[in-house]
Amino acid sequence: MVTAPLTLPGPDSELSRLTTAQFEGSLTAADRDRLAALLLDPADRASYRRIVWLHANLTRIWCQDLGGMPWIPQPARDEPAASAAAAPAHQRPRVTIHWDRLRETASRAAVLLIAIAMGASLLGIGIMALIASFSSPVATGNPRPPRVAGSIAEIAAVESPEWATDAEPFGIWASLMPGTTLALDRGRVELAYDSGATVVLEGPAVFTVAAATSAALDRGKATITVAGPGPGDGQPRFTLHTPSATITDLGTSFGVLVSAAGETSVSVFDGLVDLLPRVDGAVPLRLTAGEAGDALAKQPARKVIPPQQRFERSLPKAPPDLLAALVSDGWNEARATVLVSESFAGTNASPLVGSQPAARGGIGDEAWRAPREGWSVDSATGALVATTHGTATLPFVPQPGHRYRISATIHATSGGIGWGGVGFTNGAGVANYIPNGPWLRQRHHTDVQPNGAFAGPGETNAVGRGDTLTGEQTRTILLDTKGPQWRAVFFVDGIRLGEAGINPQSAAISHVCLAAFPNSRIEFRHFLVATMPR
Amino acid sequence: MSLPTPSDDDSAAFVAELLRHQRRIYLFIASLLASPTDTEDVYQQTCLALWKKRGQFPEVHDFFAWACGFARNEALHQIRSKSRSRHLYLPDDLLATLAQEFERDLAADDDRLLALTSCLGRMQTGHRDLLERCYRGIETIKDIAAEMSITPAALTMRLQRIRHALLKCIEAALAAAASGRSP
Repeated sequence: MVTAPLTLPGPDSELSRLTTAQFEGSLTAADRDRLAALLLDPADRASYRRIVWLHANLTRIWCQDLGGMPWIPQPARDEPAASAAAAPAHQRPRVTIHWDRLRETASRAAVLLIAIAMGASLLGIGIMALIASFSSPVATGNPRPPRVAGSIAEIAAVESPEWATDAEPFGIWASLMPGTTLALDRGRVELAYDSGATVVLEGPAVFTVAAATSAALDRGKATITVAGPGPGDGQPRFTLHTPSATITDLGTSFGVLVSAAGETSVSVFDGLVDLLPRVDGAVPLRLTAGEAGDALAKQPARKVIPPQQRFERSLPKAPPDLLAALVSDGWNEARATVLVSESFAGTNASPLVGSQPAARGGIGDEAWRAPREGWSVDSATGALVATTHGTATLPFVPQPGHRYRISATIHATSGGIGWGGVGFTNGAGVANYIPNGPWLRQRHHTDVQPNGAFAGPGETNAVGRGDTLTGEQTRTILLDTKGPQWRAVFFVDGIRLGEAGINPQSAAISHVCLAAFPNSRIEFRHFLVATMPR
Repeated sequence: MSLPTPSDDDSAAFVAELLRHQRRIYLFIASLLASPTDTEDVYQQTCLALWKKRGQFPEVHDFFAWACGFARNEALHQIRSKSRSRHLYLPDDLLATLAQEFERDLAADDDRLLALTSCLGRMQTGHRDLLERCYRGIETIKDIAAEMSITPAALTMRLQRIRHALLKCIEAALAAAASGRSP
C-alpha cells in the first residue's frame, strides 16, 4: 500500500499543469524538459506518480476508445464501492483486441484462450470460474456441454422450437438417449445422429430416437439425410418407422410426411429408399431420386406425384464460438425465437427484391426491398450476391424490453476497401448503402482501412478501431432494448468486438438490413434475426 | 533454444495470473506513456509477448515484475518509434527510474484503488459527470468547454481542481484506513 505522507501539489501548480498536459497530449518540448527537471526531485516524483495513477485509472474507467483494458470496481453514485463481479455489464468498458496481431503468432485456440481470458474478467466471470472451465470445451471456443454417456444423437440446431406442453423441451446440443421422444408443436429442430444421419424435424411432429440408425415418426414432417458413400451396396443405412410404413434408407436424402391419420408420404431427393407398408404380405416399393410414394392404411405402397412440399435438409447454424460469446451477454440460443431466417437458397440469379425468406424455405413473410439490379440470389454459390451498392431491407421494429440477435455471414470477394454490412437501419431508400445503425461492416481487404462496428447514425460512433479480419465471417449484433438507453454488442464470429449505447430516438430503427459499398462484390449467407424476451 | 511447450495446466495458471495482474500491467504502461492510444497498443503487444514466452512461466516467481519487464521494453520500443512526437515522452533515464517506482507502487495499490472507488461514489454528481464526460474521449475539451460557455483553459483548471479534490479524498481515506477509523 502506498501510504507515505505526501503533500499534494495544488491544482494550479506547475506539476499538475504539466502532468495534465502530458495526458492530454499537449506537452511541448519545453514543457517536457521542465517536467523532467521537476521530476528529479523525489517528492515531486511521488506527487507525479499519484497524479499519473489517478489519470490512468480515470482513463481506464471511462475512456470509450480503449480496448483490451481491464476494469476496476465502479461504484454507483452515492453508494459504497461495488465489486467488479456485481456491476452490470453495460457499465463496463468495451473490449477491442487486435486479433490479427495475436493471430500472427498464436494458434486460434491460443487466441481464443487469451480472448476469453480477457473478456471473462471484463464480463465479471471470476478467475476461478475461468480456470475451472479452462480444460472444458468452453474455454477453447466450443461451448458444447459434454455429451451424456449412452446418448446416440444430439440437437444440432433449433429454430424457434415450441415443445408440447407435457413434453420435455430440448435446447441446442441436448444429448438424446435411445427412446427419447420429441414432441414439437411448432418450429424446427435438427438432430445429428452419431451414426452420421441428420434429421430436420418440423412441428407439429412427434419423433422418437429409437436406436443408432433408426427412429419413429408418429406425426409431422421430417427430412432425413444419411452421410457416407452413395447408394449401391444395398445395405440399409437408416430406418424410419411410421404408423403405416417402414422406410429403409439405402444411402440418401428423403423427406417424410405423416398425417394425423398416420398415412405416410415419402419424397426422395437423392439415392434409394424402400417403402414398406404395414400390411401383411406387402413388398417394399423402391423409390429413386425425384420419385415419391405413399403408404395409406392397409393398402400397398404406390408411387405418386411428388408433393409440393419444401423439405429443409439442414438448418442454419451459428458458429459454436459465436454462441459461446453470446452467452456471456445473456443470449440463450435455445430460448430464442427466430423472426427471420434466410439461407438465400434460390434459383440461379433470381432477384432478391420482392421475394420472401419463407418462399425459399426460410422464416419470414415480409418481402425484401432491395436494388432492382445487382442483388440476386445465386444457387451456384448458395448466397445473395450484391454487385451494386445499396441496401436490402426487411421491416423490423424492435420492442422495448427484448434482446435481439442479427447475424449475417459476409464475404467481400472483390472491391478493395469495399465492404458488405449488416445491421439495423431507419428505412432510407435502397440506394442508400450506409445503414443508420447500429451496424457492422466487413471489407474485401483491410490493408488500408479496418472493418468497423458503428453505433450510428451512419459511420459515427465507431466501436473500437475495427478488426482486420477478412474472408468469410459471421458478423453479429446483440441489441438489448431494456430501458431508455439501448445497448448494442458487436461480434465477429466468436469474438466480442465491443458494445455501445444506442439512443432509440436517433436510431429510429424500422428495418434490418444488408448493405454493400459501391464497386464491390459481396456474398451474404445465412441472414438471421432472432429475439429472446429478457 | 526452443521454449518448453507449456502444458494445459501451465497455460491455465498463466491465464489466471495474467487476469490477476492485467489491471496493474495496464496501469504500469499508462503511467509510462500517458497516451491512451499508445497504452492500448503497448498493452496488447505486451500480452502477446507474454503469451509467446509463457513457457518461462513455471519458473517465474513474481508474475507482475516479470510482466513489467516486457511492458517496459514494449513501451520503450513504442516511444522510439515515435520520433516525430518524441517530445510527448519523458527522457529514457527518467522513465527507467519512474518505471521502478511505478512497479513498486502498483504492486500494492489495492487500498488506493478501493479508496478511489469510494471517493468516486461520494463525489458531487456534477463533478463526477463532468469528469466522466471529459475522460470518455468522445468529445474534445474544446467542445465541452464551448457547450459550457467557458474557455478550454477554464475547463482544464476546473478538471484539475476536481482531480485535486479526488486525490485529497483518496489520501484521507488511506490515512483513515491506516489509523483504523472511517474517513
